[in-house]
Amino acid sequence: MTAFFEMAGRGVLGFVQYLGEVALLSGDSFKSLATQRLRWKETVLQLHAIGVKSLPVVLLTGAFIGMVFAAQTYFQFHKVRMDTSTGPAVSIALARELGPIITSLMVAGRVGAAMAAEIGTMRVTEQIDALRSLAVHPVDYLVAPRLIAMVISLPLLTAMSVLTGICCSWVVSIEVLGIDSAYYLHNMYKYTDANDINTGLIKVFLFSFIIVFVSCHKGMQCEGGAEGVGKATTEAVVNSSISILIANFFATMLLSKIIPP
Amino acid sequence: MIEIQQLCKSFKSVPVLQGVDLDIADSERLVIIGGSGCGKSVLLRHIAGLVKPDSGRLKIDGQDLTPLNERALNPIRRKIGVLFQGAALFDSLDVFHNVAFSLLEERTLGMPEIRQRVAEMLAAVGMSGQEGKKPAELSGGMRKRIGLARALIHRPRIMLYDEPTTGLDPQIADSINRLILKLALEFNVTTIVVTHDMVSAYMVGNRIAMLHKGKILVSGAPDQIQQCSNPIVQNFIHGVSEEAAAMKMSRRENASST
Ligand SMILES: Nc1ncnc2c1ncn2[C@@H]1O[C@H](COP(=O)(O)OP(=O)(O)O)[C@@H](O)[C@H]1O
Ligand SMILES: [Mg+2]
Repeated sequence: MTAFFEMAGRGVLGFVQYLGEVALLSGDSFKSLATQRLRWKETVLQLHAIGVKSLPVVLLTGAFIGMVFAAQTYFQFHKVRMDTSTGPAVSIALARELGPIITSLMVAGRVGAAMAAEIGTMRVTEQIDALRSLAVHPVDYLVAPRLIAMVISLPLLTAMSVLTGICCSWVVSIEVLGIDSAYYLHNMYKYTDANDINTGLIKVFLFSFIIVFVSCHKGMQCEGGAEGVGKATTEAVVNSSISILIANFFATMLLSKIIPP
Repeated sequence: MIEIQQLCKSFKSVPVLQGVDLDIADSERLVIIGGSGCGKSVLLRHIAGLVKPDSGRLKIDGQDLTPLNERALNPIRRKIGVLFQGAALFDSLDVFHNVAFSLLEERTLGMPEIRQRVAEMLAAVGMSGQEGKKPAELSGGMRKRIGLARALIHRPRIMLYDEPTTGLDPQIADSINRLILKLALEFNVTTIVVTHDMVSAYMVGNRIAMLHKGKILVSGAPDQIQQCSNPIVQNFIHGVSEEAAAMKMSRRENASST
């Protein structure tokens, strides 16, 4: 019995310590952004690695999620003769939930893993210490450019993913499912408004911080050679994905108070 | 001038340094010897300002490093160059950007001057014209030379070397030793070398200190160390393993008892 409480206590303590470490890293990063110069060259390289290189995978997932969601929505709505409501149902769901979540999870998997692996490798091969010995703060050089690049890239990627999803779902609805195009578009415009898109973009803005801080923290804390790097990489993806899903729920509830759906 | 007093450091309650006392004068060439895992790298990382001690003092030119935070340490780190054990070159950057790193970060020199300084530095370490190579294309000895050039380019007054010859063949090790000696004499830098390679220790050091069980066991000129009567030191510098030493002892006891 005491063993159980001891284990539970250690778990809770470990979790609190983990949160504290990530919070410290975020504090250092904001301080760095406010007081140190931004390394433009690094930032542009990261914009390419995060933004440009994620585009194909993000567009592909957006397209297929949009199409399958249109099909499923149509199957149900058709039973109650509401075929043309498929348009707004798909566009609102994509803009508010599916687009932001799927894009963030894809980017967490692709980019979060790369961040943890790169920084983790630098850590175990003493490159981070080399950086420090050359009088450069690792947060200035490694975290700040990644943060800026992610905060710019993720909302843009999400917007593109949502747009692709809506276009592809329209094509499927008209060409495959045989819904009337004019009514489909009319209903979609009528029921979708800017706030649906804004809500989604505000949320991914938040998720971009989660991905960068969780992944960079895992990389910086990495220990124990190649095995440690592998472990850090997996944990970075798992932790940022879970954090995104949890944060998404609370952000949705909170935003519904501020911007009524 | 580097002053180390009663420096202690433990990792996860395993003590590594247990009260190191060591003074290093300007332009001295100190070699710290000791067995693998005895804490040589940890001691060197303290001097470089990369690790905080649990207790004790560490002063460089009269300034105590122990209370300083990460950013406040940077002015002191600029006086120090470090050659890491695996060279720790930035793999994402080519040789030019590795060597020029601290000059590019400081942003005081223009590009033509930086190019010239890099070319001079590469010539000094015998790696002229290799600016465009990536670290992955270099051999171990070449990486050490580039690491040396990177550490030396901002003209530090103190150079720290972590096992500069470990893992290199004897010829390349010899050339690295010569390079360390040449740079120490030419630029008049205080040199601290951590190694367990005695050839290297006699060649570059004008003082040798032995780290044992978290303390400095002995320290003195190379010939003093060679004549030192302490059996631990003798066994280390002659490469006699603990087992062999124990066997020799017991044999001697047997001989004396019969
Ligand atoms: N960051 C660290 N975390 C935990 N243990 C460490 C760390 N750095 C060094 N140690 C331990 O300290 C001891 C001395 O290490 P080190 O100074 O690297 O030895 P060496 O004399 O071979 O350079 C080793 O037992 C090592 O496991
Ligand atoms: Mg070592």
